Amino acid sequence: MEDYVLMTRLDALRECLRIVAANLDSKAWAPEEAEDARVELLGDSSLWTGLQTLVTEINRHIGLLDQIDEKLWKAPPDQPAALSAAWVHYGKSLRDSEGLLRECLEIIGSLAIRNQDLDDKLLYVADELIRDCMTVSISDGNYYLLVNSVIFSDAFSRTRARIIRLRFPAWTIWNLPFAAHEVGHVANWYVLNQERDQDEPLRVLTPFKDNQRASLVANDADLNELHQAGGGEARQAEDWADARLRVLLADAFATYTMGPAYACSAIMLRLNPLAKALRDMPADLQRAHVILSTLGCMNGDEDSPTRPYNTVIGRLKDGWEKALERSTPASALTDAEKAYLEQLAEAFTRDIGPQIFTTAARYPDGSPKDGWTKAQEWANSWWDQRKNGKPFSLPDNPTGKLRDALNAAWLCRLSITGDFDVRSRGHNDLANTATRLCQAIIGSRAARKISSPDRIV
Amino acid sequence: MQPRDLLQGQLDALRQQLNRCRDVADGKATPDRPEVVERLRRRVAARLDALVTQLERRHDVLAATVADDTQPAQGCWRELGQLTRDAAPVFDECLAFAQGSWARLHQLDEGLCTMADDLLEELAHRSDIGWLRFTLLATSEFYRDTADIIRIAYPDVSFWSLPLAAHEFGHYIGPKLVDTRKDPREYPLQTRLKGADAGLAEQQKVSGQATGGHTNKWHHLQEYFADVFATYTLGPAYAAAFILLRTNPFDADIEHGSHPSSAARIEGILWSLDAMAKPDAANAAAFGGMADWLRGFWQKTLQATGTAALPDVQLALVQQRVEDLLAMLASVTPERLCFRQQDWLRAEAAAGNLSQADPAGATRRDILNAAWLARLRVRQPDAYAIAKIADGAVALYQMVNTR
Repeated sequence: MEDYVLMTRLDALRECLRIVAANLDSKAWAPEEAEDARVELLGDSSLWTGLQTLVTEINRHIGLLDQIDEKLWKAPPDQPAALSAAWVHYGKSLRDSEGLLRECLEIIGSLAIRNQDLDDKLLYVADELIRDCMTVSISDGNYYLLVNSVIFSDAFSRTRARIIRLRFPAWTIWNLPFAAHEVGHVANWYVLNQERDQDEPLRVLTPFKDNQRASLVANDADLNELHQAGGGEARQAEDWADARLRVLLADAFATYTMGPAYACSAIMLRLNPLAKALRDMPADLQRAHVILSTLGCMNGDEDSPTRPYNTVIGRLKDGWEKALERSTPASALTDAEKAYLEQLAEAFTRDIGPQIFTTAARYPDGSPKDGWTKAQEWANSWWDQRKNGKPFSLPDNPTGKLRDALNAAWLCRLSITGDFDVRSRGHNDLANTATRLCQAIIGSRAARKISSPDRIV
Repeated sequence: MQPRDLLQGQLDALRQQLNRCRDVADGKATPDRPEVVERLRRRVAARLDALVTQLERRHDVLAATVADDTQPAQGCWRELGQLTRDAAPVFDECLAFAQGSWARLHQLDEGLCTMADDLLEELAHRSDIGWLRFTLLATSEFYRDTADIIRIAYPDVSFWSLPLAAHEFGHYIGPKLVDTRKDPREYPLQTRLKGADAGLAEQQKVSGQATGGHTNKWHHLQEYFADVFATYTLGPAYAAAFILLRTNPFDADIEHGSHPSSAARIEGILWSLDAMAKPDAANAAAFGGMADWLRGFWQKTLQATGTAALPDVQLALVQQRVEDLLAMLASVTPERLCFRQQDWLRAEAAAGNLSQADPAGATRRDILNAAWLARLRVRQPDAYAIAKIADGAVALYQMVNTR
């Protein structure tokens, strides 16, 4: 049976898929000069292994289109039902392919930026940081690729191609902790998805999320009013509460895994005290409160012998509260709102996080090898260099983790003051050194991997 | 920490981002600057420069206000929020330029963007309205007036989708159309769009949104005009590309806020073709029954998928709107913009044997029509036969380029 329009469509979609598969081939992106080439673009990089999932998916779609074509061709002309079925299958394949092709273009765009070194090699650091976060939280060692976007809200739905989005042109070491927020969306989604197959008593995050959503609706006047109306409006209120909660939990996750670096990035660079809650987004005031509360919980109880984050929490709180006082004294959180957000942060940090993520997920503060101790050591050495008028230099033995380098950079940055030029120069020098430190850490990992290929790094 | 340190920190970060965009606009971000990237950059540099400069000025004013401790911080935070929102589309354009120019340089578009640029320049020349920009790859075809760059859908970079660029070009041209016979000069599409927005306050009341945006009617008028423009300038090639490559019959009857239903758009396109083919039309062109042919395909497709045809009342409304737009376009643009009988005859002649055709006298739009006509004439349209037609047409199209 022939249908000119459908056959044209099938050919066109098949061709599109073939072009994309060819463009995701590492040969197309191989650096022209091997010297100083970007590691992730080389043919044996794990980036290409990661993208194979996508190429397999594309080939599966091509196979489906071939099947539709064949069935249509074999169907006798007096069977309109076969034609109708072919259209239905094509329609489904088209819908599925559209999302896939969109993701592919984002990836190709990111590869283009990398190929031109427009990101100063920072995107690769981000990929590795994301991999660290995914490995330590849910033991997912797959390669997640950072892509660039102005729109920064839908990482949650974009897990098929394993991409995480970072706002353009925010390509500095200072913004990298935001990648952990997006990882938080993916990790929480992953856990919820896994719990769907588990018996109810074994679930942890699902009941927690349901309870928190109910509390959020009860605590928010607008959502509560909508919920009281019942029916579709109540469902709408729950959906919006769910979306807000996802953001708050991603903030808690990012602080939990990245430590003070995420709190610094969010409060110093992103949150605006005037940004009110939208239907599906919490107010920045609420986000800041969750972030600072999470860090507060990680700092230990009042009577703890060591309170590692006292200084940094004090500085961030001081800055944020002053900004609130000067800008929106009337819109401060109510006591009930504060209590709700604090219990959310506390429950996530002390109870939920340790149960659903690995022990290594939480940013460590007691180990001398890595974590906050290492970050402080590096920050102090940089600060000494600055005080003595020396340029920042790399530590002799970069044995820590990427998240330690980010924390060290932020810790040192908080002490840099002066006018725009002084600050700007100081921040840039520090950012360059911290980026080089990250690259050295990645390099030493690769070296260790080569020397002991069976060991999982 | 000083009270304004947070504000200052975010301002500094925004300044760094603006600097990065300026680097893209100035070409510093691509130090080797191969010829193709540089050529594109020159075309858009002034606009990007102007946009970044505006943002930088606002940033400087805000920085001065922040530095002045006597000014209230609330206004500063509000302006910072607004400035960040306003910067987003400019950043988006810079990113699109950096990525898109790279994709063109490395032939990810398989040469389609250059072919589209040439086609649009030809249409700009015919319409007497300048266009000094270029096309880039994106996830779908669209036009954004931030930097006037037209997007071509990736990965559909085949020769067959080239006519669809004319629709996006219609979005660029539409607001610039001017009726010089009137005093003061009138911008006929803008006048109509203003009229379409008359119900904006009412729509905002219903949707609960207080500011911004346009009515659905405004958006739909834009789409109808772009379709009329593409059909008027490219003839059957646009109709064939739109019907055969872009419309999904399953949701053809669904109208969106930004777009009329595909069924309505197709009726508008086919009606325009019919109107251009009428013997009493100023530029009558028969188009060899192409409109009927395409209508037949479309109706069979609707039947196969069980999608309802457009109701008569809606059909009448579409025809009324398209008739008005077509008449308006014809009245304010040079006659040579229209795809006429003589153009079609050249296309028919070339379609007979594309690989042997002599491009002398043929224009790009003639070759597009010739290719589509040849494709529709193929009895068994297998991938090989279609690719062969496309190859011949591309070769011919590129000969026009070099003439």
